[in-house]
Amino acid sequence: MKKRSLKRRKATNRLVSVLALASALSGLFILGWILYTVFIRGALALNIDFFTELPAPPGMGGGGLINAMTGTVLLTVLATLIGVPVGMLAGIYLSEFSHGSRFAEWVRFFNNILMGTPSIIIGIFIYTIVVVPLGHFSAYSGAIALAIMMLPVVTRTTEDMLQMVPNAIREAALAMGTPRWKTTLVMLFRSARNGLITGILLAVARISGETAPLLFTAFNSPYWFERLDEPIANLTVTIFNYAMSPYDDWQQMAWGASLLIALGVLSVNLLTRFMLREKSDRPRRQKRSTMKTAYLKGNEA
Amino acid sequence: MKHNTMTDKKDAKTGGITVRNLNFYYGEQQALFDNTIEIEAKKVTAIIGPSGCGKSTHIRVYNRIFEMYDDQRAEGEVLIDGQNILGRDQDLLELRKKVGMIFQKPTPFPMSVFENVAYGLRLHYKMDKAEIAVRVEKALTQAALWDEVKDKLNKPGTALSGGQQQRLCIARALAVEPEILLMDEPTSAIDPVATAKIEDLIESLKNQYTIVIVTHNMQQAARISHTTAFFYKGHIVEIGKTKELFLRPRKKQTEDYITGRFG
Repeated sequence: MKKRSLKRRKATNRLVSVLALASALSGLFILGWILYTVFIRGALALNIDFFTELPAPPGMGGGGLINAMTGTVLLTVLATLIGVPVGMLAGIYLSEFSHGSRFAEWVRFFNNILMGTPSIIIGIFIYTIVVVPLGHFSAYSGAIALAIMMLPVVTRTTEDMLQMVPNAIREAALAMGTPRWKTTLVMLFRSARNGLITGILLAVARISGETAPLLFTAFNSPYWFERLDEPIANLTVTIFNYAMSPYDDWQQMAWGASLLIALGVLSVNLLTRFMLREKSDRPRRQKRSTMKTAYLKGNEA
Repeated sequence: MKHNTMTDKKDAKTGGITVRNLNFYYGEQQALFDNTIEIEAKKVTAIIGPSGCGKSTHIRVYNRIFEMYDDQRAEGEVLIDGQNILGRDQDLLELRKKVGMIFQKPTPFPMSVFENVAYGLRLHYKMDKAEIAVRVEKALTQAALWDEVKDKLNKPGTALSGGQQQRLCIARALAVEPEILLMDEPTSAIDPVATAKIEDLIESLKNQYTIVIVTHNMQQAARISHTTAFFYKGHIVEIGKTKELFLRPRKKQTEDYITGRFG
């Protein structure tokens, strides 16, 4: 039997480690670059007017995006109000009531497909079934498009989080005579609370930076929001329009809006990290404290 | 209206269980074979036998908790106070109010100590706050836990020690005044001191409730039970007064098990 060269194997090992590290670093580097550019360029656009004024015509200078900020927040809140209850109920059905039926398999399958559906297709879909029949762009059609974007994420995380609750909790609740629906809503939701909130936040982060579903639905507007059945200003479509425009001051505004969106999504993501960490920390902390009390009790005795 | 029915009718001999030809299946696999047993009201009945012999499976039929799992199925008759609880018209919520269950691992709900015990009261009765407080104290006292937790009623139930958590679960079950308590190896996850407390507790409850306890621990069965049933591979091999069964087993398999020759 011929021995393989030890030297060569060591060299291969080093090569693969270096390549893996380099790939990881390049990912980080690109993210850092994006954030750096957005911060440097965007920060120049930020001033009091940016947060308080309506948009100004090109070349006039001044003006702000207060209408687009409130519009984006409103669209996100509306979409959350529609998407979260529906998604959660679907997740509850899949986890607690489907009894492994074939129908549930199909729901899960299509849910996964919906999760991978390009957002522009969802935008065109809502354009076809809501905007065209009604004859105008509207805030609520935008909210519906965003809600559909949220749906698969919320459904999936709800099902996953409920599945992680041990059956012992279900059995204990049912053995007390708790009806099935109450077992889910009270017991399981309490046990899975952090995970569920995390799922909702991730879904919110996912939609708050979306442009494509809004292009054909909520459209955009230079005015204050007044009615749900009119086009509504929002940051992402504003970025799209302003960045494509030939005017320097509008492009500057687009950078400012980009910074705002980046900060918003980043902070929501950090919040979810924080929630997840708190969740995984809790049992550890608890174990430590019970060990301590057991030790103290031992000393007393 | 509802809580008017909640009177102490504990003197009546209710809570007897009659099991006839009970067969149980996990999917295709049969786990219990023609189990027939009479459980006396207001007595402690211990179920012993080696691991996997169907002890837990058997008592999990009494409150139909097994129905949570789609592939589990029971056939035969289980009469509680003369009514076949396996019948289609049996109301599960009523059944589970009447038949409480304590699990192997303590299962405090994700809420405070007080709320854990008040939980069943709120679920099954309409009561004002003062009455709930009285009932909670009574149940915790019955479970020999009141003195230890009266200052931490607002702490989460999970903050108690394992043995306290198990007594909390017993208090939670007692609060709704069941007739029957099913205990599925209630002390197997608990240290010896806490185990002794729970055995004392069972002793103090035995005249008011029908208690069916599954245990791995034969000394425990001998200490606390009036009647013992020996299970083996899904069959009930022998049932008898605990003293007789341990001193003079009639079946060879029983003798081999209690003398430690297998299991």
